Amino acid sequence: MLFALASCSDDDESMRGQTQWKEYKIAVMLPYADGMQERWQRLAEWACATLEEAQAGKEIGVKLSLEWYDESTVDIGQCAETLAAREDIAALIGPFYSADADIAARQLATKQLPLLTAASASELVRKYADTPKRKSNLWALTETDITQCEVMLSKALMYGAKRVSLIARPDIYGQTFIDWFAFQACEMGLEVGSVVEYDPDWLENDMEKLLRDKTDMILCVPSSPDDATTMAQVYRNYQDTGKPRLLFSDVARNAKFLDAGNNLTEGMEGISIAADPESGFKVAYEVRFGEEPTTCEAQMLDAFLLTGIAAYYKEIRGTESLNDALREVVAGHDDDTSPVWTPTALNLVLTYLDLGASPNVRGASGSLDFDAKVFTNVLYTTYAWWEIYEGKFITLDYNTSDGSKRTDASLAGWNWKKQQMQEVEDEGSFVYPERKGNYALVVAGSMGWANYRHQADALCIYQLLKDAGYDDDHIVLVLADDIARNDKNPEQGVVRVRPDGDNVYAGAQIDYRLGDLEPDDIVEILCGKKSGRLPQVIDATERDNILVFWSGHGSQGSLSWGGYDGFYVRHMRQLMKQLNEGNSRRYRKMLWLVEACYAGSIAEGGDGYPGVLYMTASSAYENSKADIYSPTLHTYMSNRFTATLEDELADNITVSLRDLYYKLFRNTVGSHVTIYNQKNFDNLFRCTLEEFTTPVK
Amino acid sequence: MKNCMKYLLWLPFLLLASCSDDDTPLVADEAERWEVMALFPESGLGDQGYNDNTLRGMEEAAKERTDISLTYFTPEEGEDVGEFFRALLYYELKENSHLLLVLAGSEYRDLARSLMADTSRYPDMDRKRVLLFESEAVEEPVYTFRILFDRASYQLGQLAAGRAAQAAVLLGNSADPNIGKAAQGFAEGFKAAGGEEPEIHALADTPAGFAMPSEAYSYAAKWADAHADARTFIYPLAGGSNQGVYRYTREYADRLWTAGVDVDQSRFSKAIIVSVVKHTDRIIKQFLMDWRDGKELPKHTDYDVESGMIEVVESK
Repeated sequence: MLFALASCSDDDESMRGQTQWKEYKIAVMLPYADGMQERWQRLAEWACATLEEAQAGKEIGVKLSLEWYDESTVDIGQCAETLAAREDIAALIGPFYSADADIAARQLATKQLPLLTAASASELVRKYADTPKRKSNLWALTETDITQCEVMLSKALMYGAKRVSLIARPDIYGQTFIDWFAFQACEMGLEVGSVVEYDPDWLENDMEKLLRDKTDMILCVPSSPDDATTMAQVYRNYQDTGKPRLLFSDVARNAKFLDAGNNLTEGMEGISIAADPESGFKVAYEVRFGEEPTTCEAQMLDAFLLTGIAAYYKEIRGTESLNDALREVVAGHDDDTSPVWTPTALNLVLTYLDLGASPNVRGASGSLDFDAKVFTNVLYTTYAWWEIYEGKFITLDYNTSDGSKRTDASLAGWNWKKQQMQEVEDEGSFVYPERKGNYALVVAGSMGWANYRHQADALCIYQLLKDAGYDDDHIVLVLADDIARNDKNPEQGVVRVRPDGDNVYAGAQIDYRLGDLEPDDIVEILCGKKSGRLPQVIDATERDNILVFWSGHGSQGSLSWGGYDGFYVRHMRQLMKQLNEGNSRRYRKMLWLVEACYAGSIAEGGDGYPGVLYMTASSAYENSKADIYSPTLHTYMSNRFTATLEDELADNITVSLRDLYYKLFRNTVGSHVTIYNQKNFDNLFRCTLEEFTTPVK
Repeated sequence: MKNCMKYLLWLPFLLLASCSDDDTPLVADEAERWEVMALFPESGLGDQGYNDNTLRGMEEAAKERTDISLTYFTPEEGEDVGEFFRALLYYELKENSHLLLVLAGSEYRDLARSLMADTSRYPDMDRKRVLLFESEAVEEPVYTFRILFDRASYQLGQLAAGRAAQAAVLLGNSADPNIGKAAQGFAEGFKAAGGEEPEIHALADTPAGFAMPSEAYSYAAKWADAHADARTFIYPLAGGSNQGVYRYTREYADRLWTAGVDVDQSRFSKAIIVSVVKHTDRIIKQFLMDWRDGKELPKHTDYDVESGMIEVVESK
């Protein structure tokens, strides 16, 4: 537009100047397979030409000099390490796939070198989100797949589905769907049928099994087009008139899936990431190249342009790094602009920047507005709903996560959206004998550096109990004890739950190593059955409260035990039965606080027993979520549910269990904190956390 | 363009800035420029139909005449864009620049007339043009064209009656006169060829009805259920909502016949036996190229079936 408007100068010639071009070397790592090399390169040429034309006549201009790598064949880690070490590389565009982006982002994080990608696994956002001590260097041009899962479920609702199931592979791509599916389904009022984590070698069996389950719709999340084809094959062969409808995730929108043969995929439908239809990108692309853009091409065009805009910003404002410039550019909210993939619109944005303004930059994919708290991924993505009809993909319509547009990233967005909280009644009269003492059992059920967070949390709870007045005779602490002195621990002997936290390992008296016990022993310990092998037990009476804190992995009906065995529902039943045998039970009140996936499923074993309450990080169908990723330790330091619990134990110990539940529910993103057996326990408005954490004086 | 007004507020500032003592060049002005500012209807772009086709024509013109520069907008619901376009007309153009404002929908008729009611206040009007889509001729200096939809719809009604005895017309926006005429044309053609009086159903009386595919699906299902004894016809005049009808016909392949509208939409369903194709891409492309090439532009054009710019295309 500026080209058309007159300048006020009497002499237009005087306004012309020789542009001083500054070159930015950008590494590009994208997959060349399946004819994509040509697509990426012509897209990059388009972006570079647009950028150059938009800067014509400006005093300072930037050009992108691209250095290409084939993501399909290059050693991602080695290449990214080399790029990070080079002084001349300003940014990396790509990799395209989540697993590769994770590897590359880790290498580039050390140098705060920006990485722009269309990868969308939620794990990436959690790992590389901004923290007070570290700025994110990951710039994902799509919302996370949490949103894709949400859009798929909204389609299920649109079809009138009541009961839905999911099949996904537990890799970095599928895990996002596994983590969020049940949570979101619950929020949308959908009943969860099954959540199947498939192994490609057993996919046919898993799919058949799922089809036998009576659900209305199956969300199919294949990790490759081949897996998608297998799913379709099993579906076609399955003879049942009432079989559910399938809805595929974006991986299935692939030529391989389309060309599976024998009309195998005819009629299949799904969701894929698209350009913002109002940007006009798709039409312009078709006119320019004579074919439709494929998944994420709009996002990758935006990656090139955004890099160019940030480079320009750095030049005119003198920003310290390109990463900082990116933060400034995407944080602009002064004014909306037209999509910047046309020279005129991009020129306007650059002129705004010249004038000190901060426009809201829009690209071919939509608004390039990033969450101002985490600066990791855009807040807006368009999803195309497609179907294969007559051997072709047809786009049926476009969807976004919500009509109002997000203001927070997907993870945070689901925080405020969560509303399926249980009702807690302020009623009930329960008679308990006077409390005499307290015991606690603290278990970290996993082992290994990758599970650092479970042991760290167990140690933190242990320390908080000690601070509240417990002595070691009344706490049984069980953990693998393999992180404090682990080779990967840069601070030997130190374990923390947050980067600036205290060393929770200091002074910890560990009663049992995980490997020295079996799940049956937990029953013995809680029942006070002391032996030569089990010298430290919970020797409680009907006048003693017991607190059990358990952190680890879980599956349906089981809490994992070091990855090999499990504390099953039958163990819980056996335990509760034994504790309640005889004339007097072996506890006054017992509170289980469980941080694990599918934690709610273990509570079933205690259902109906008096005086016991379970407060779990997740329902019986959900995964719980890790929290606070450390780029130094390369692992998570804590878990969502437990982090809030720790805060309450440290600062608000008199909180009622009802208020504790409320806080845990509100602060635990991605799963529903759930309470079980409330009606046989006590009035939660009157019973406090302190009853379990503070000895009687 | 969510906030046209905010956008507008920047324009004077931009111009003032270019007059500052610092001669920082803001624009390139060596070559002649042909700027097109197009305003699409709300919920327009992305419809895989009329509006996308219009944009395609613009892009093709810009591809062939590389000194044409395109910028386009779609307003959000309830957004007033008039002041923004008025401001554009108020600005002085460079000597070598030309500006064409394209109002790509009949809903902008009042806006066009009000903008151009008194052009004496605008500078450089010899190099500024305004084109309004789908309107009858107006007194103001606005270029207009109209695709006469009723005769093509009449032909389509006749074809439809060859397949079905009963039909329904689904309107996206009952307040749109062009759509009303098309519905009427279809009904007359359908009856003339022996069909019964069609049912007319509107999804909305605003442009919002062009983006209601679920409601369109529900209507198709309801209509088909009510006429389950024979295969009937639905003529969908509902823009993006037509996809709901097409989905229904894909899922229930033998219950309805239907038609594509604006572009050949036969790829969406085998039940689409015919499409009324409006070649807005050709119309706008020709207009832009003629404007760029300095040719005389017709003040108003009506495109009927004889023009070739609208045709009834049977599905292959």
